[in-house]
Amino acid sequence: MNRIAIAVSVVGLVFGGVILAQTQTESVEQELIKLENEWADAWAKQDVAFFERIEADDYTYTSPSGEVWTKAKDLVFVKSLKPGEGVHSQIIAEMKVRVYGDTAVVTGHCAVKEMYKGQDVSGQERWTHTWIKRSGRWQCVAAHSSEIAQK
Amino acid sequence: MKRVAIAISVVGLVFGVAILAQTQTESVEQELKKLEKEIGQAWAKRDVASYDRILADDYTWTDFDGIVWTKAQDLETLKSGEVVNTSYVVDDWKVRVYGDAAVVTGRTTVKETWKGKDVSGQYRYTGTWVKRAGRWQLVASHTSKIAQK
Repeated sequence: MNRIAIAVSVVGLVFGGVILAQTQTESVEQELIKLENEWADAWAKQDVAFFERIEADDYTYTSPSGEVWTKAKDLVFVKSLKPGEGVHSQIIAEMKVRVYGDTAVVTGHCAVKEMYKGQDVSGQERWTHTWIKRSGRWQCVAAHSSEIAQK
Repeated sequence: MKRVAIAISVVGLVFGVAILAQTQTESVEQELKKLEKEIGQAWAKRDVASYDRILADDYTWTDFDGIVWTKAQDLETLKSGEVVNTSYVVDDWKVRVYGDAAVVTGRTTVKETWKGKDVSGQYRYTGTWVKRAGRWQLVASHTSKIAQK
Protein backbone atom coordinates (compact mmCIF):
# COMPACT_ATOMS: atom_id res chain seq x y z
CA MET A 1 0.00 0.00 0.00
CA ASN A 2 2.84 2.27 0.98
CA ARG A 3 4.56 1.70 -2.33
CA ILE A 4 1.44 2.53 -4.30
CA ALA A 5 1.03 5.73 -2.33
CA ILE A 6 4.62 6.69 -3.08
CA ALA A 7 4.23 5.79 -6.75
CA VAL A 8 1.04 7.86 -7.04
CA SER A 9 2.75 10.79 -5.31
CA VAL A 10 5.74 10.61 -7.64
CA VAL A 11 3.53 10.46 -10.74
CA GLY A 12 1.49 13.36 -9.39
CA LEU A 13 4.61 15.38 -8.72
CA VAL A 14 6.01 14.73 -12.19
CA PHE A 15 2.73 15.71 -13.86
CA GLY A 16 2.48 18.77 -11.66
CA GLY A 17 6.00 19.78 -12.61
CA VAL A 18 5.33 19.29 -16.32
CA ILE A 19 2.12 21.31 -16.18
CA LEU A 20 3.88 24.06 -14.23
CA ALA A 21 6.74 24.21 -16.75
CA GLN A 22 4.22 24.27 -19.62
CA THR A 23 2.23 27.04 -17.98
CA GLN A 24 5.37 29.08 -17.39
CA THR A 25 6.43 28.72 -21.02
CA GLU A 26 2.97 29.84 -22.12
CA SER A 27 3.04 32.86 -19.86
CA VAL A 28 6.51 33.81 -21.14
CA GLU A 29 5.14 33.49 -24.66
CA GLN A 30 2.22 35.77 -23.85
CA GLU A 31 4.50 38.28 -22.16
CA LEU A 32 6.89 38.45 -25.11
CA ILE A 33 4.09 38.70 -27.69
CA LYS A 34 2.69 41.60 -25.68
CA LEU A 35 6.11 43.29 -25.53
CA GLU A 36 6.58 42.80 -29.27
CA ASN A 37 3.21 44.41 -30.01
CA GLU A 38 3.94 47.29 -27.64
CA TRP A 39 7.34 47.77 -29.24
CA ALA A 40 5.78 47.90 -32.71
CA ASP A 41 3.37 50.58 -31.45
CA ALA A 42 6.19 52.48 -29.73
CA TRP A 43 7.63 53.21 -33.18
CA ALA A 44 4.44 54.90 -34.33
CA LYS A 45 4.20 56.79 -31.03
CA GLN A 46 7.90 57.71 -31.07
CA ASP A 47 7.95 56.57 -27.47
CA VAL A 48 11.62 57.00 -26.55
CA ALA A 49 11.11 55.85 -22.94
CA PHE A 50 9.79 52.51 -24.18
CA PHE A 51 12.88 51.94 -26.34
CA GLU A 52 15.07 52.87 -23.40
CA ARG A 53 13.35 50.21 -21.31
CA ILE A 54 13.00 47.38 -23.83
CA GLU A 55 16.45 47.49 -25.41
CA ALA A 56 19.30 46.08 -23.32
CA ASP A 57 22.32 48.38 -22.98
CA ASP A 58 24.34 46.12 -25.27
CA TYR A 59 21.47 45.80 -27.78
CA THR A 60 22.33 45.57 -31.46
CA TYR A 61 20.03 45.85 -34.45
CA THR A 62 21.18 44.71 -37.87
CA SER A 63 19.22 46.27 -40.69
CA PRO A 64 18.19 44.67 -44.01
CA SER A 65 21.12 46.47 -45.69
CA GLY A 66 23.59 45.14 -43.12
CA GLU A 67 24.04 48.22 -40.96
CA VAL A 68 24.58 47.60 -37.25
CA TRP A 69 22.82 49.94 -34.84
CA THR A 70 23.56 50.25 -31.13
CA LYS A 71 20.97 51.21 -28.54
CA ALA A 72 22.44 54.73 -28.37
CA LYS A 73 22.15 55.16 -32.13
CA ASP A 74 18.59 53.84 -32.07
CA LEU A 75 17.57 56.31 -29.36
CA VAL A 76 19.16 59.25 -31.19
CA PHE A 77 17.29 58.22 -34.32
CA VAL A 78 13.90 57.97 -32.62
CA LYS A 79 14.43 61.29 -30.85
CA SER A 80 15.38 62.97 -34.14
CA LEU A 81 12.11 62.01 -35.86
CA LYS A 82 9.73 64.84 -36.58
CA PRO A 83 6.03 64.33 -36.00
CA GLY A 84 4.58 62.43 -38.96
CA GLU A 85 7.98 61.14 -39.92
CA GLY A 86 9.09 57.57 -39.40
CA VAL A 87 6.79 54.64 -38.76
CA HIS A 88 3.06 55.40 -39.16
CA SER A 89 1.88 51.91 -38.41
CA GLN A 90 3.35 48.52 -37.94
CA ILE A 91 1.40 45.30 -38.09
CA ILE A 92 3.20 42.25 -36.83
CA ALA A 93 2.14 38.70 -37.56
CA GLU A 94 3.26 35.09 -37.61
CA MET A 95 5.07 35.44 -34.31
CA LYS A 96 6.80 32.34 -33.07
CA VAL A 97 8.29 32.23 -29.61
CA ARG A 98 10.88 29.74 -28.45
CA VAL A 99 11.79 29.82 -24.78
CA TYR A 100 15.09 28.51 -23.38
CA GLY A 101 14.95 29.34 -19.68
CA ASP A 102 15.94 32.99 -19.33
CA THR A 103 16.50 33.31 -23.08
CA ALA A 104 13.90 33.49 -25.81
CA VAL A 105 13.90 33.86 -29.56
CA VAL A 106 10.95 35.46 -31.31
CA THR A 107 10.60 35.44 -35.08
CA GLY A 108 7.94 37.31 -36.96
CA HIS A 109 6.68 39.20 -39.94
CA CYS A 110 6.00 42.89 -40.07
CA ALA A 111 4.15 45.13 -42.49
CA VAL A 112 5.31 48.66 -41.94
CA LYS A 113 3.98 51.97 -43.26
CA GLU A 114 6.81 54.40 -43.02
CA MET A 115 7.85 57.80 -44.33
CA TYR A 116 11.42 58.96 -44.20
CA LYS A 117 12.64 62.34 -45.46
CA GLY A 118 9.47 62.73 -47.47
CA GLN A 119 9.75 59.33 -49.11
CA ASP A 120 7.51 56.34 -48.66
CA VAL A 121 9.75 53.55 -47.38
CA SER A 122 6.93 51.13 -46.49
CA GLY A 123 7.57 47.44 -46.85
CA GLN A 124 7.44 43.98 -45.41
CA GLU A 125 10.07 42.49 -43.19
CA ARG A 126 11.03 39.31 -41.42
CA TRP A 127 12.79 39.69 -38.12
CA THR A 128 14.50 37.71 -35.38
CA HIS A 129 14.60 39.06 -31.84
CA THR A 130 16.65 37.56 -29.01
CA TRP A 131 15.41 38.28 -25.50
CA ILE A 132 17.16 37.81 -22.14
CA LYS A 133 15.51 37.89 -18.75
CA ARG A 134 17.60 39.60 -16.10
CA SER A 135 16.43 40.74 -12.66
CA GLY A 136 12.92 39.57 -13.55
CA ARG A 137 12.69 41.69 -16.68
CA TRP A 138 12.81 40.73 -20.36
CA GLN A 139 14.96 42.89 -22.60
CA CYS A 140 15.89 42.53 -26.23
CA VAL A 141 19.61 42.02 -26.76
CA ALA A 142 19.67 41.50 -30.50
CA ALA A 143 17.37 42.24 -33.41
CA HIS A 144 17.90 41.51 -37.08
CA SER A 145 15.59 42.27 -40.01
CA SER A 146 15.40 41.35 -43.66
CA GLU A 147 13.25 43.04 -46.23
CA ILE A 148 11.01 40.58 -48.03
CA ALA A 149 11.87 40.63 -51.69
CA GLN A 150 8.93 41.94 -53.75
CA LYS A 151 8.09 39.73 -56.66
CA MET B 1 44.67 41.11 12.85
CA LYS B 2 41.83 38.66 12.44
CA ARG B 3 39.74 41.28 10.67
CA VAL B 4 42.56 42.02 8.24
CA ALA B 5 42.86 38.31 7.48
CA ILE B 6 39.12 38.04 6.86
CA ALA B 7 39.14 41.18 4.70
CA ILE B 8 42.02 39.83 2.62
CA SER B 9 40.24 36.50 2.22
CA VAL B 10 37.04 38.20 1.09
CA VAL B 11 38.88 40.41 -1.41
CA GLY B 12 40.76 37.33 -2.64
CA LEU B 13 37.53 35.41 -3.06
CA VAL B 14 35.84 38.24 -4.97
CA PHE B 15 38.82 38.58 -7.30
CA GLY B 16 38.99 34.82 -7.71
CA VAL B 17 35.31 34.62 -8.70
CA ALA B 18 35.68 37.61 -11.06
CA ILE B 19 38.69 36.02 -12.75
CA LEU B 20 36.87 32.70 -12.99
CA ALA B 21 33.81 34.36 -14.56
CA GLN B 22 36.04 36.23 -16.99
CA THR B 23 37.90 33.04 -17.90
CA GLN B 24 34.63 31.21 -18.47
CA THR B 25 33.34 33.97 -20.76
CA GLU B 26 36.59 33.78 -22.69
CA SER B 27 36.36 30.01 -22.99
CA VAL B 28 32.75 30.30 -24.23
CA GLU B 29 34.04 32.79 -26.80
CA GLN B 30 36.70 30.33 -27.94
CA GLU B 31 34.19 27.51 -28.07
CA LEU B 32 31.67 29.48 -30.14
CA LYS B 33 34.40 30.72 -32.45
CA LYS B 34 35.41 27.10 -33.04
CA LEU B 35 31.80 26.02 -33.68
CA GLU B 36 31.21 28.88 -36.12
CA LYS B 37 34.39 27.90 -37.94
CA GLU B 38 33.02 24.36 -38.17
CA ILE B 39 29.81 25.69 -39.69
CA GLY B 40 31.81 27.59 -42.29
CA GLN B 41 33.84 24.48 -43.06
CA ALA B 42 30.71 22.31 -43.16
CA TRP B 43 29.46 24.37 -46.11
CA ALA B 44 32.83 24.19 -47.84
CA LYS B 45 33.13 20.42 -47.30
CA ARG B 46 29.45 19.42 -47.33
CA ASP B 47 29.93 18.04 -43.82
CA VAL B 48 26.36 17.12 -42.93
CA ALA B 49 27.22 15.40 -39.61
CA SER B 50 28.91 18.47 -38.09
CA TYR B 51 26.14 20.74 -39.26
CA ASP B 52 23.48 18.41 -37.88
CA ARG B 53 25.22 18.35 -34.49
CA ILE B 54 25.69 22.11 -34.19
CA LEU B 55 22.18 23.20 -35.19
CA ALA B 56 19.39 22.82 -32.63
CA ASP B 57 16.36 20.87 -33.85
CA ASP B 58 14.21 24.01 -33.72
CA TYR B 59 16.81 26.09 -35.53
CA THR B 60 15.64 28.78 -37.93
CA TRP B 61 17.64 30.78 -40.39
CA THR B 62 16.18 33.94 -41.92
CA ASP B 63 17.94 34.84 -45.12
CA PHE B 64 18.52 38.25 -46.75
CA ASP B 65 15.30 37.93 -48.81
CA GLY B 66 13.25 37.28 -45.69
CA ILE B 67 12.79 33.58 -46.26
CA VAL B 68 12.78 31.41 -43.14
CA TRP B 69 14.58 28.07 -43.34
CA THR B 70 14.16 25.21 -40.89
CA LYS B 71 16.98 22.89 -39.88
CA ALA B 72 15.64 20.17 -42.19
CA GLN B 73 15.51 22.56 -45.17
CA ASP B 74 18.98 23.89 -44.42
CA LEU B 75 20.42 20.37 -44.17
CA GLU B 76 18.72 19.51 -47.46
CA THR B 77 20.43 22.48 -49.14
CA LEU B 78 23.77 21.43 -47.69
CA LYS B 79 23.33 17.82 -48.87
CA SER B 80 22.16 18.85 -52.34
CA GLY B 81 25.45 20.50 -53.21
CA GLU B 82 23.54 23.52 -54.58
CA VAL B 83 25.86 25.75 -52.62
CA VAL B 84 29.46 25.81 -53.77
CA ASN B 85 31.63 27.77 -51.41
CA THR B 86 35.22 28.60 -52.26
CA SER B 87 35.99 31.21 -49.60
CA TYR B 88 34.50 32.20 -46.25
CA VAL B 89 36.15 34.89 -44.13
CA VAL B 90 34.66 36.27 -40.91
CA ASP B 91 35.59 39.60 -39.37
CA ASP B 92 34.17 42.13 -36.88
CA TRP B 93 33.25 39.11 -34.80
CA LYS B 94 31.61 39.94 -31.46
CA VAL B 95 30.16 37.68 -28.81
CA ARG B 96 27.98 38.50 -25.84
CA VAL B 97 27.49 35.79 -23.24
CA TYR B 98 24.37 35.64 -21.01
CA GLY B 99 24.85 32.55 -18.88
CA ASP B 100 23.65 29.63 -20.98
CA ALA B 101 22.91 31.82 -23.98
CA ALA B 102 25.08 33.86 -26.28
CA VAL B 103 24.64 36.23 -29.19
CA VAL B 104 27.25 36.40 -31.90
CA THR B 105 27.41 39.09 -34.56
CA GLY B 106 29.82 39.22 -37.43
CA ARG B 107 30.54 40.10 -41.01
CA THR B 108 31.35 37.49 -43.62
CA THR B 109 32.96 37.85 -46.99
CA VAL B 110 32.08 34.87 -49.14
CA LYS B 111 32.79 33.55 -52.58
CA GLU B 112 29.90 31.31 -53.33
CA THR B 113 27.43 30.10 -55.91
CA TRP B 114 23.92 28.93 -55.12
CA LYS B 115 22.15 26.92 -57.83
CA GLY B 116 24.79 28.19 -60.24
CA LYS B 117 24.13 31.83 -59.38
CA ASP B 118 26.97 33.91 -57.96
CA VAL B 119 25.95 35.06 -54.48
CA SER B 120 29.41 36.29 -53.47
CA GLY B 121 29.52 39.36 -51.34
CA GLN B 122 29.58 40.70 -47.83
CA TYR B 123 26.99 39.71 -45.26
CA ARG B 124 26.11 40.62 -41.70
CA TYR B 125 24.76 37.94 -39.42
CA THR B 126 23.39 37.49 -35.92
CA GLY B 127 23.54 34.05 -34.32
CA THR B 128 21.80 33.03 -31.10
CA TRP B 129 23.35 30.13 -29.20
CA VAL B 130 21.94 28.16 -26.29
CA LYS B 131 23.78 25.75 -24.03
CA ARG B 132 21.77 22.67 -23.09
CA ALA B 133 23.05 19.48 -21.46
CA GLY B 134 26.55 20.96 -21.56
CA ARG B 135 26.48 21.57 -25.30
CA TRP B 136 26.21 24.79 -27.29
CA GLN B 137 23.80 24.74 -30.21
CA LEU B 138 22.73 27.39 -32.66
CA VAL B 139 18.99 28.09 -32.29
CA ALA B 140 18.58 31.03 -34.66
CA SER B 141 20.52 32.96 -37.22
CA HIS B 142 19.69 35.85 -39.46
CA THR B 143 21.60 37.26 -42.41
CA SER B 144 21.57 40.56 -44.30
CA LYS B 145 23.45 41.32 -47.46
CA ILE B 146 25.55 44.45 -47.06
CA ALA B 147 24.40 47.06 -49.56
CA GLN B 148 27.15 48.00 -51.99
CA LYS B 149 27.78 51.72 -52.19
